[in-house]
Amino acid sequence: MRRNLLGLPAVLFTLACSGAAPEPQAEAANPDHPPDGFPVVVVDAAGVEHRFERPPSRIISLVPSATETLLALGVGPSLVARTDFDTAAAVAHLPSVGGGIDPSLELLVVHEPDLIIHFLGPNSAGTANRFAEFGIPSLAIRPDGIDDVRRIIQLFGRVTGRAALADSLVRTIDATIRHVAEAVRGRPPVRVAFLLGGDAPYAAGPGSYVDQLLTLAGGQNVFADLGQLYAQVSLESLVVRQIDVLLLPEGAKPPPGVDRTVRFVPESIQFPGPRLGEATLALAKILHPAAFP
Amino acid sequence: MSRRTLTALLLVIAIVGLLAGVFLGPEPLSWSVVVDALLGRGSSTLHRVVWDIRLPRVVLALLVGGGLAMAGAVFQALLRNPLAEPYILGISGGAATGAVLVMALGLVSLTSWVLPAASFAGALLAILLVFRVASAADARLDVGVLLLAGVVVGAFFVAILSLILALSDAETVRSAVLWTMGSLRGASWRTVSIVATYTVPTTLALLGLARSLNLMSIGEETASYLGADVERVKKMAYGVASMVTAAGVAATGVIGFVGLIVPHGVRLVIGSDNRALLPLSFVAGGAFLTLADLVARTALAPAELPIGVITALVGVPLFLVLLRRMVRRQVG
Repeated sequence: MRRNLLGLPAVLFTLACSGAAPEPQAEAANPDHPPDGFPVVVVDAAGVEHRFERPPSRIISLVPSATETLLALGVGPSLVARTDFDTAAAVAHLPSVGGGIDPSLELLVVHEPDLIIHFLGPNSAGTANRFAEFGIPSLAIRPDGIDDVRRIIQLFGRVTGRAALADSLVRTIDATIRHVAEAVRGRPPVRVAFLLGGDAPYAAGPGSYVDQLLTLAGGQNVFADLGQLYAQVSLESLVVRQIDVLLLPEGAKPPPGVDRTVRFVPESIQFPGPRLGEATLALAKILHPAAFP
Repeated sequence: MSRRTLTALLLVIAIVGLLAGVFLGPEPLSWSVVVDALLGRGSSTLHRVVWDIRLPRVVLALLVGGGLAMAGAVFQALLRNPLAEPYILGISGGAATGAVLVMALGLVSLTSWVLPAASFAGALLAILLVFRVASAADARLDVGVLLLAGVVVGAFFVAILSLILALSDAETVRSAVLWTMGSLRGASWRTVSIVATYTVPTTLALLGLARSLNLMSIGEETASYLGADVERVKKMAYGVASMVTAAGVAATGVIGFVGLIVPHGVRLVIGSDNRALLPLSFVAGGAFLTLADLVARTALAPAELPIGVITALVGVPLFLVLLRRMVRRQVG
């Protein structure tokens, strides 16, 4: 709902090219002149333009899926803190700054980051303004769908000076998705629902990341008529609708009284990050086991 | 305990709370480091932490806690009802509805002033609505109607709020819940200056009304015989205390219990002379919220607890102990 009203099209991630050539003045004399390809100018999900003179060396990511993308780009050594919600083992040793949406400002500042990645949420403007006030560059991201994942990988690639690696990461993901598409082609779509579990379960609705993965994996989301990305669904609708496979994240409790084929998938499948390709393949193998001998 | 002892005690607690809020935080800093930062020595990072994060936060806690407690004392005197608190006249319902509406519309991610402005506007709307209803009969403000209208208008706003939340996505619901539990994380010198602009003059105005509120506690009729301009006092007290509350709620979200417990606590100790009750409630409320916020940001560091949880968890038992002791003394 809010996305529509905001009219925040994915275009906002458009990576404005560094366009105007860097002025070849004082910087030329500077011994540590900008590395190749820098300065870089990008536009984040909030539509704010950011200019980077050099790759950031002290990064804090407040979005776990973004942390994974940064790790995949090999900039793990530049990460200086994590959130309480990061699951990646590579950042487990880092100090935490609290929650991703509500981090401790004080802990962020003492780590002296030169880049903060934060989620563009219903109340993120205040936080971003504080970062700006303290002179800390920040990038707002909003990984809603698989296109966002691609853009975020490329955005991070440009900002960290690893654009080539980012492109190849995206190509690998796209190759896996193509491989899955070919494997499931011609097979009747499997009617599937992805639930977050519980007594009043939340289901993935149309346009959500999981919904897009399911479609790519040869599934048909039975809750494609939900008005939101994720919404509560009634137990009744679970009983009445024809569902071939009910997917739940590992550890979630299946809704009571629903006797469907329940399959558990790793929780990480719902996090829009660099494992997008793998997640699609894993889902396709569950939905169409015969297609992957 | 005499009035003077309590005053001294509360001032000491307030100062201790202020210092503790500056010297303690989620990032352990040694005393000497904080002193250096306060004096402008040391690294610029530590200077920021102490001057731009911790200091505005304790000052905001003092202002908001003080404002809520004093507004509570005024509402209790004005409405002659011990259950009265700063939010009783629908103010929190209006503020929350305004805040959640802009969250659900996705407007908040655009600029940072939208949320406080919307919650302030919501609070003002509730205040005006209640005022219009309570003064509809004739020019007089009926405090009984005021109380009833406030509760009902508040319930109406809560219904609108629930409707908006039911139609919103999970993310908005989460942000809304966090907001309604209150937090001082948004504290900056800018917030402090805005809240101070409302709180300082209104505090002085309310202190000026203390004597008239004393007369009114005897009864409105008697008060008018004794020379109080009852209608003017009621409208002033209602409007000014509401404004303090609205400014606080816009800056920090809904922080419960301070405005209910603190003035009662002070009253239990020194009696209900508003000339002492109002200023002491301000000091006590400020000190209480400063300490509660200290717990909120250090107890589970790096995670932060909603401050409303602390004010209720600590405030309620403390208040009950005080209440029990006073009741026993009256009996014995």
